[in-house]
Amino acid sequence: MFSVLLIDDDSVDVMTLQRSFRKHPIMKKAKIHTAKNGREALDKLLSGEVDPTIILLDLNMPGMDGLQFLDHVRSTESLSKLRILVLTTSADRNDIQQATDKCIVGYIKKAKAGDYTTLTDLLYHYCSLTEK
Amino acid sequence: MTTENETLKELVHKLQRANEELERFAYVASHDLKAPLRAISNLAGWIKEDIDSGSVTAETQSHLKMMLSRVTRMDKLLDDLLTYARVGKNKDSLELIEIDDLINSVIEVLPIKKFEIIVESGLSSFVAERVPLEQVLMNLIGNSIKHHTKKSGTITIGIESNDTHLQFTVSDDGPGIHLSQQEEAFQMFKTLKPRDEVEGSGMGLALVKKIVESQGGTIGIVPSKTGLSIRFSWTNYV
Repeated sequence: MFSVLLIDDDSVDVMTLQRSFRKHPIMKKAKIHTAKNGREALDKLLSGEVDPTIILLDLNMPGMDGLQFLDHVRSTESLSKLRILVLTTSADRNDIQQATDKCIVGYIKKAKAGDYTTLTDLLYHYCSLTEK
Repeated sequence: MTTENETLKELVHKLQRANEELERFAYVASHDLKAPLRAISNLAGWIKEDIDSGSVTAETQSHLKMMLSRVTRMDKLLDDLLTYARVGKNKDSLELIEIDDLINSVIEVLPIKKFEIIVESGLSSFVAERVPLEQVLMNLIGNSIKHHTKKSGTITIGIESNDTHLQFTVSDDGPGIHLSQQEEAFQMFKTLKPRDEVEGSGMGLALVKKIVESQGGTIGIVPSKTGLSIRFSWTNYV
């Protein structure tokens, strides 16, 4: 079954994604892991606690932020191939450029609850493509 | 001719700083001020769904509670932002300040409880604007208490002076700030922990920095093996 790691410091944003997954016939069975910042996520990945099919990454978080996390992951051999989709409020061109340069699966701007159906469908299609 | 050039340079520098601040504010406002609104919108939507489908549960109640706490959070963010914008607008009168008296009035309004406050001072009094100095000390000592992992600890306040400036150092034995977060600690809206874990606008240190600079001083984190140590200077009106 798919495993998703949500890296976001905002509990309501995390709930929004979890609710969207619950409404999808396949994604509702996915195992969802969460982390409040890059450091927490790195610890969970390096310890082997989480081996996600895909990672959803927020950029603005206290502690290690999204771009710093991306840097760490891409320069760590055991983690460099992880699939990461950026999900953030930031529309800043600099952020988009920096994130894209680090080989992300996609860059999506956070929206109100209703609009996550498309994202969930997209994630389902992606996960079923890449799952071994 | 040189003093005119210097004044001009100073003005240009001030303007550059002001513009940078405005740019940063615009970027950060779009994230930190919109976040509570987005949460409120989502939570309201889920509550509506529950009401429409006739299934109001404990979860619905908890969503309502979260909504209200986000409203409070946003309110505080805006209040702190306004306080920040107002720094330096009104110059208070200079007064003779007794150090014991100053520390006592600051501690009075903080949840000190089991914390120990130690004052190490080379002077007993000095002349300065009282209110902004109290604000700075309240913020720094308040932060030390708020972020401490235990219910008790030690906070040390060091006070020294030279001909031009007073120097204050506020140190604690708390968790400190990780080196990687120190650079951004004084920026607007930057919090140490997620707001869902520790409520805070993230404006505290930005406010403190602005006040210190408006008093002709500088502020920074002093390298220390444990805990947090912040040092700031303040114009000495001898």
